[in-house]
Amino acid sequence: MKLFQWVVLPILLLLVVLELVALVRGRERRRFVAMRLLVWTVAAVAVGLPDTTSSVARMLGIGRGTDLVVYLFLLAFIATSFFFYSRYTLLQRQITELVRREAIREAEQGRQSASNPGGGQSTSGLS
Amino acid sequence: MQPAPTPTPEAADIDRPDIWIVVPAYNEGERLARTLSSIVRDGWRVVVVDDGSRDGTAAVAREFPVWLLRHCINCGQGASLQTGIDFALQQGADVIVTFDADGQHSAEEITRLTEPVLRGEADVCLGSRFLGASENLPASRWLILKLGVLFTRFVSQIRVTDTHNGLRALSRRAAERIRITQNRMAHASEILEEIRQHRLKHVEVPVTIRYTEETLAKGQSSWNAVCISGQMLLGKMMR
Repeated sequence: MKLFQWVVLPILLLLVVLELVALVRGRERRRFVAMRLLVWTVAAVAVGLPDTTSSVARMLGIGRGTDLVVYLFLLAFIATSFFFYSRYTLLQRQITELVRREAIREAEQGRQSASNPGGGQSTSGLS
Repeated sequence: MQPAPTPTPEAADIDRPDIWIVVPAYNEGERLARTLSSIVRDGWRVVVVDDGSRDGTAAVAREFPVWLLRHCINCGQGASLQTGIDFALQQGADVIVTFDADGQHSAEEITRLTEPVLRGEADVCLGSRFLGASENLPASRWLILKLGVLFTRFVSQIRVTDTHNGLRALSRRAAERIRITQNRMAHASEILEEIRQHRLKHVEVPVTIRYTEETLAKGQSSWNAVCISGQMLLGKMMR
């Protein structure tokens, strides 16, 4: 085993154990725990047995194991970027809607009521 | 004998269409007073949407006979327009005019802009500086605006001569259908797309845009134009 493996493998194995404990306790949502568990396990296998990624890569016709990992990360990055951008847009729209409702509810009139359509100092909220 | 009751101003107004001017304002404390005094003089109903300004914008607006709506945080011009439009609709507006706060539009043109809508010839009347005139428009801004027009023709498939003009008149019907979700500057193209999607009748009316050093400094830079196009395309994907 190489130095890198000596350093990283124990950490990954510890993470796997921690996730297993979390899975048994069932306090967190199982889906997330299972997903993290999968990631740490795959990482541990890839670090501990580097040949496995290479053979999987060859099977898929990619060539090197490193390339396989790079491709997977790239795909995951693009997918998460889209996911977070759409979440961000949704959140922004929701916040805007809240701000808008509050603004309309707190509508105030300036000096001299030349235009007095609502007939009061402030109007009721959105109908 | 009792004198015949004279009609109250409200009664006389019943047949007059309710025209509302929506003025989105962000940190426009210095220029807003000039803009508002020109609109208020003509007796329009005005709603100023203060988009979370950090200067005296709200205080300036309070000095005028206008409605003031305040966004507690800065949401962008598109969001401000939608807030003002929602409020005006709620108050029973027949026609809604959007008008920039920085003084680049001229209040005298509001009447001309609302005419096609009032006559029922159009649901939306768009101001166009390329049919009208632009005072002190720099060449670089001209180029960017023209590129914007081409971009909109290509992406939104609508033929207009000026896509990024803040001066427009909407009929109630149009205002109820158009929904601005692009909070920032991409809303101008979005409005055009909504017009096309809802098959609203639109016309363009020549208007004059006055460029001053101040408006140019605060306006959109050329690089922003690129960002806005990106926002617009991303927004289309995320719908």
